[in-house]
This record gives sequence, structure tokens and C-alpha cells, in this order.
Amino acid sequence: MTLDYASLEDTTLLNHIAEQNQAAFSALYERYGSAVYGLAMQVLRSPSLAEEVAQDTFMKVWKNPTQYDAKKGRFLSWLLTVTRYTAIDRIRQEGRQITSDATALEYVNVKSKQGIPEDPMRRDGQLIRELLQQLPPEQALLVKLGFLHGMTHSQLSAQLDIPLGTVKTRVRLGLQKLRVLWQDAHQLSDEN
Amino acid sequence: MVRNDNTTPQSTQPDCDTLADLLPAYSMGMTDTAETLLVEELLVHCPEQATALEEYQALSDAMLFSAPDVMPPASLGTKLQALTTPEVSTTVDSDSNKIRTIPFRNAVIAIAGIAAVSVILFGLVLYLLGEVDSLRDENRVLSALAQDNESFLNVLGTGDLLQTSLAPQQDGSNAVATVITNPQRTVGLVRVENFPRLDPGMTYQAWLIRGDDRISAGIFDVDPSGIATLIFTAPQSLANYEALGITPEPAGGSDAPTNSPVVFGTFADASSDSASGG
Repeated sequence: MTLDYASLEDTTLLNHIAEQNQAAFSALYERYGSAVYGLAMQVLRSPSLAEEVAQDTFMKVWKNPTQYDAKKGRFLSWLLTVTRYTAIDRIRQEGRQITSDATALEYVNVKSKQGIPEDPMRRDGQLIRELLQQLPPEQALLVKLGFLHGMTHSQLSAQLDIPLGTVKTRVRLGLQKLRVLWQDAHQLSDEN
Repeated sequence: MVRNDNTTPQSTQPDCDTLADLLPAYSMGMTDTAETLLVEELLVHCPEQATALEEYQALSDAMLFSAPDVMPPASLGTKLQALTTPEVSTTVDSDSNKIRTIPFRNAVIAIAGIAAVSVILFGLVLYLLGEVDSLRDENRVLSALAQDNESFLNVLGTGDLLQTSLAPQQDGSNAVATVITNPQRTVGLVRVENFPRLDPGMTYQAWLIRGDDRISAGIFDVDPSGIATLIFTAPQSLANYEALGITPEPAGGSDAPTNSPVVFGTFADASSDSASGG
């Protein structure tokens, strides 16, 4: 009887991957390849670099699947965290300068409109994406750049040539507003 | 615990408003080192901010999921499959073994011969495809290096360059490294030699050092000869950093060093130890 890897839970797939089972690895890639590549694209905005980062991320899983600790949260959260740090490292290796062009950050959003995901965390992610568009553009830009590029207040200030105090204020106001909008959206959803 | 210096709020009146202002950025990893330390200290004194911290951290987790799915190119799946497939030679050997078990009959020998040739040809095609992929990857790496070199050469052309030798830090090690920097710029180069190959799942990570801060300058792996070259970009001009060290870290790198350094060296004064470039 052939094992249906696509129906297995993440942790079971990882156990098979620990035994160098390529079919289990393919199933995991089929499940999360587009999420990993999507995040890498959002950070790097370059198909070739995003492909390399996605490849590195999945190869880390193949080489060391036991690095994921199920007690610390969902596998996809861990996988996306690895993707984000791998992409940030790639930005640093490439010595790439960040851009203040907000339209570049919206590129991926515009190109990939999707339906409502079933997974609650991915639905939440889609909600965040919509709420970010409700922030004043100068706040949304710093929040996105800071989070996606792993940059601190002073790094953002230096790279974008914006006074440090202004960066701090915009980041704070942006995130405070995002939190309120997010809570309101959850409250509305609970009431319905 | 409260430090006895004037940068720390009084224990009787902790500055919880400052904490509330910094929490959003702290949760996203956007605070600078001094701000991070301040937040972690104030959290002890302002327990009412714990709920806000949890909510901002949940927001940070959700941000990870905010990137929309994008279908990766088919080439990614193909590459991953190739990278996780056992060596071609193993397949050929195993098939050859099967062939040897076929009974000795002329007709079967002829068929087996054709099959063996097919297997060899198939293996050869796979090998050549692998070589083509390898050359493509090499070309991409060389292109990236060329871009890096271009930005590095821009640095070479301005001001005094500083050459710093990093000495081995482990008994019996002959690992060495050389760092070339322009203290007024943010780009530097480090070349390592005699570095031991690491186990799978590990990588080397370079760290710029300033006081107690350790700032990642990038990760790299060495070739079979133990050699690698890394061009790195620092967040600030390199005059702001005192030293550079290299440690083995888990694949993907770490937020801070988790192992002892393989090599370490302090940046000398630019005027006393300049390289010949400039």
C-alpha cells in the first residue's frame, strides 16, 4: 500500500524527512512552497533571489528537520521565521539598499490577489495585509520595511535619511493603530 | 533589578509611558540595542504592560503570514528534487546489480547489454544536466560576486584602507582570516583560510563587535580547501566597530554568537596599519 504523504501532519512528514524520505519532503514543499516563496518575494522583490532563499530554506529543513521544536508553535510559523531571517541575511550579503518606493512594496500584493484562506493564521495574515493599507502611507512604509528587512529605528533613519525621532514616532503610531484595527476586526468577527 | 546610573528610571517611578511607547517596535524587533535593554528592564517594573506585549507579539506573528502566497517557479521544485535525490552513481550500481542476477542466456544478455547501455546513457544525461545546472548556478554566483566586487571596488578607491589579521582562537587551529575595510565606509571584505569544514546544518557567521554588541556581518561556508571570501555591509561606517570575530552557528545564522570564535582580531588604527590600496 502506498503512503499518502499529502495527508500526513507536518510533524509526521518531518519524521519521514529525518530518514531522508524524498516523497515526504516533496509533500512538504507542495504544502508550503508558495507561502515560503511568497514571503521571500515580499522581502527581496526579486524572483531569482526569492527562489534562492526558498531553496535554502527548504534545504535547511531537509538537512536538519529536528531543528523545529513543536512545543514552540506551529511548523509554518517556524518555517516562515527561517525564511524571513534567510532573506534578511541575503539582503545583507548582497549589500542591497532598501527602497522608500512604496509602490515596490505593493507589487507582490497587486500581483497575487487570492481568495479567503481556510487556515486561521493565514486568514489573519490576509487581514493584516488589508489593515496595513488603512495606515497613513508614511507609517505603513516604515512598519513594512522595518519588519520585512529586520531593521531598527536608527538603521531605518540612516538608510531613508529621515530624522530618528520621526522614524520612532511613525513606527509607534503605525503599530499602535494597526493593533487597534486588528483588535476591532477580531471583535467584529467574534460578534458575527 | 535596577542599575545605579542615570540612564535607568527610578525603581519607585518606573517610566512605564516610555515602555508603552517602545513596546510596539520592540515586539517587531525594530528597537536599537539600548532601547531593547531599556524595554526589558522596564518590563519588570510595569507588569500592566504584559498584556500589551502579548498582543503586539501576536501581531508580529500574524505579520509573518501577511505575505500572500506566490506560486514558485517550476525550476525550484526541480532543483530541490535534484538536491535531495541520492547520487546518480548509486542508482547505476543498483541497476547493474539487478542486471547481474539475470540468468545466462544469449538473448537475455543482449537485452541486458542494451539495458546497461541505456542506464549508462541515462546516467550520463543526468550527469550532464547536473553539470549544466551547476554551471548556471556558478554563473549566477559569479554575477552576484561581480556586483559585490563593483561596490567593493568603489570603496577601494577612496580613503585609507585598513588590513586586519584575525588570529586563530582554538588550540591547534591554523585558521586565519584577513579583513580589509575603509573605516569611513560601511562595506568590508573578509577572506578566510584553513577553516575546517562544518557539519551539515552549521555555517560560519562573521560578527562586527562594538562594546557588548555583536552585529552579524553575514554567513558563509568554506570550500573544500577551507577558503571563503565574504563581502559584508555594516549598518554604520566601520569606524564604529572595534573588532571582528567568526563563529560556527546553526544554518541560517544566529541573532548572537552561540559558539566560541574560530578567529578574532581587533581593528588597528587606520593611520598605523594601512593597506596599500587607496
